[in-house]
Amino acid sequence: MLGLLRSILILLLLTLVIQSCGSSDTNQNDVDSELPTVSTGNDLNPNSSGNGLFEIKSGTVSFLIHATSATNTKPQFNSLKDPDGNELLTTLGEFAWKSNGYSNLLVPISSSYDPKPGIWSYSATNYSQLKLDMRTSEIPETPTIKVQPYISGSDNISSALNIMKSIFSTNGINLDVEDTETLESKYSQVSYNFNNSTTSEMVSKGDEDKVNLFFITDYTDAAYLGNAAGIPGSQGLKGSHNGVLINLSAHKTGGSLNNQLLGETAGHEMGHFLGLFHPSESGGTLFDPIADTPQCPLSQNSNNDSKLTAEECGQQYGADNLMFWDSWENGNQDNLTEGQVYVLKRALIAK
Amino acid sequence: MKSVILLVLIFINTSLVMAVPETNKVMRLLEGRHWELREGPFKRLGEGADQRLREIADNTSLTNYLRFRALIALSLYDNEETGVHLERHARSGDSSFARRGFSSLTRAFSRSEPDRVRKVAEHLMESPEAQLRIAAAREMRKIDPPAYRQFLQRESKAWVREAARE
Repeated sequence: MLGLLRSILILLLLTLVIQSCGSSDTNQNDVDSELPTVSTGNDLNPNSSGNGLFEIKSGTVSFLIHATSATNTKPQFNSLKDPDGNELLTTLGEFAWKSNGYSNLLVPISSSYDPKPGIWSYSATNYSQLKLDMRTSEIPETPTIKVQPYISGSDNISSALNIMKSIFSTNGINLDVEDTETLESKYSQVSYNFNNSTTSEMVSKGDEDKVNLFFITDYTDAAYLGNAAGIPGSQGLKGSHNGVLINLSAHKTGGSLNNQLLGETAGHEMGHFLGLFHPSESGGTLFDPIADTPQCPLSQNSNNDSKLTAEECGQQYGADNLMFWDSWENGNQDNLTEGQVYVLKRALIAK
Repeated sequence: MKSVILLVLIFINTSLVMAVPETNKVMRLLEGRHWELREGPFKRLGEGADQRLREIADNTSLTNYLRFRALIALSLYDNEETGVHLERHARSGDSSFARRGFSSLTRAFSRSEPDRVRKVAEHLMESPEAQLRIAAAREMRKIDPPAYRQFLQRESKAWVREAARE
């Protein structure tokens, strides 16, 4: 009896061992045999490890890879290799946009990056969907970008919109600003967070081929002048990250709108949405990836408080640049460098 | 001679009391397009920074973003003058200032003086401004759950009730 039991036990153990070995082999084979295929169209189809390929055709001006996920996770790009096998994330990585629910990769973010024709490879994790948008249209001398303003309340923003338009026009970009649409009262004060349900619902109204500017009465939870859904935002993809927010009440002095400041804020946030960073961050140690933008170094910090204001940097160090991190009380911020214009002219939604 | 020494001492003492930071030093900490409150730089300004922040928050010749940020930074100071100042803003007719005044009052006093916060929250839950009702109800949920539940029963707008529950 004992011998029989022992035999059954050995048989069971052997079965378990064989099954587990077989299962392991099968999984290994699955991974090994699942080579990435070249995706066609906008939907990228990576293999189960998140690796994939896509083709950039000759004449492509720019491309943007969108990675979306649930709002409590941050999609992550781990690799982006051009057709020559060069890893772009070693330098592009720190400028790749990463946020809960939405991350992306834009090429070019400066003239150092080129959407070379051929087969590109990528690797991503924590995403639910990956999409690719490309621009193949030629770059005209003065490209046009469509802009759709939305407003809550009854403030007159036409002067500010004209200032914004003029800043871009002076720098070789034509803005086609559509008639302002009025928002429902529930969107009058919203969260700065684009994953917030109300903010997301509002921003999702925007068209994918425009820069959607949402002039809200106020934020519920921030004291920003404005903020963009990403650097860049989801150009070409409708949804929660397809726009910028601009706080109207923050731009008022004694009840009147400061139109110059408001126009500059709208232009600044649009710059972020289209892929521009602050040339210098406030600490004087972090700079954008564009070679010709003025850098304001820490040595300009006159009172050692580790914050470089527009007054300290002055025109010489970029305080007059539209993308300077701080607003400038004593001057206009209407300047863009050739390197910044290079990126804007190649914006995915420019024509 | 004694009176001279006394006068000098009074002068020194007064100077120490009046040693508030310069306004432009405080203003610098409020600059930036995408500003967020950081406690360290304000604390490093030393005593009197709250006085400057109250002055900035009340200065109608300044652009609102600076005044808003001054109100937010006042959440770092839980003294009586700041409490009175924040209550005044929380009860003001401008909802942008009222919400920030209330938010800072809550952060500074909800632990030490919950009744003070409750009184302002009760007032704001009756406000015609939806965002003020939402902010007040969210706070009331923590300090007086029955009052919060009553608010949910009488609030007519579904999206306000939903936001208050978040």
